[in-house]
Amino acid sequence: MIAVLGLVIGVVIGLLVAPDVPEWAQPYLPIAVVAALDAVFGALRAFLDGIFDDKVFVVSFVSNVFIAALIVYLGDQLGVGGQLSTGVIVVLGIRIFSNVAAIRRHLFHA
Amino acid sequence: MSLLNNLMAHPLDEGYAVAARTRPNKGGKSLRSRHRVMLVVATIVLGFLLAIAASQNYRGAPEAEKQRKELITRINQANTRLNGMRTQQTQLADEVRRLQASGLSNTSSGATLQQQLDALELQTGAVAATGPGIKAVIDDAKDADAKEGRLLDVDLQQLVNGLWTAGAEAISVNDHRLTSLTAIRGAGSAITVGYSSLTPPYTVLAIGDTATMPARFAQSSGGQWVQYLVSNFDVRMTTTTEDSLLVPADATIALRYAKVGPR
Repeated sequence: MIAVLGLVIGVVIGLLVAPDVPEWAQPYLPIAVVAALDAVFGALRAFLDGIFDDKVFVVSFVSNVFIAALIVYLGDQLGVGGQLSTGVIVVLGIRIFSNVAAIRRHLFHA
Repeated sequence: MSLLNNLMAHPLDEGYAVAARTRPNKGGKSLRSRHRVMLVVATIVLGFLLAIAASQNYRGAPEAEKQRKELITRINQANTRLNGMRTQQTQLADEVRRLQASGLSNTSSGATLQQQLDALELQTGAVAATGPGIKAVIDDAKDADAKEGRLLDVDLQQLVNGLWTAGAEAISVNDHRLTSLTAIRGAGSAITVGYSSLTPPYTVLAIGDTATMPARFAQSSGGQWVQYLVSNFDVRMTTTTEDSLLVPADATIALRYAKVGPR
């Protein structure tokens, strides 16, 4: 539950500070958010499965965000930025859906 | 195919399973304090990321709306300035004409020149004209959308050409006098007459002989074109004969050639 508390604190800080995202970072923000969400749902599922490990969560969260941004940046440099970001979103979306389905099975036994 | 299967079958990071296997079994979950701190920091960063992404999205929309409103204000201001300058130009043109007339009235050759000038200015659209004629108001169909029912520049051209064929002497569309240099074109979804965009309904004033013009217009190819539009596309048009119409002067006429006269 300390994780949830940390999440809430982070959201509050973000809303209060409301920083101006610099121009160069703006295209990567949505991808970073989706990658972070993937890590979060993975963590939730692991928690419900009983195998949650905080170190794995932190590492997967950081590396997901970093790698997603890196892939999109690479794609932009090569000229296939739109397609690569679509591919990243598709993969992350599939993973999020599967994890959410497993979570649903845990919660509702359905 | 196996890539997609793999994705759907193993969405969970394998690290969790590995960590669960190698974690020393202590009955419950024991979090080492260093890992706990990292967890809290990670969740704070996550919340922060979500918050700024959301606020970025919500702040973007009103910004775009504000820019649009600013552009509309600037367009209106430019339009007002343009109208003011057109009025000024008409006043200056009148003054020039007065000075011209006073300069030509001294000699008999000047008087014939003045007569020629008066006739030409009336025909070419440099001065306003009044007289009886036809007033035609044409509008898009009532339920017009982007594909059907909207008037195009070619429709307005046909209407105007029909009126010229019927014997009109001076024509204006939405208070823009048509001269031999005025183009009726389409730009985007608007019809432009002499580089000014117009919005429907279009009021066309044509000064001419009211006894013959309506019939000749109906028989002309332009009149038949417009009749076809009215019958098949629900374009709305009303034609009335008026006793006194005022067709304004063309505000865009400018002096192009000048030569110093003999002394």
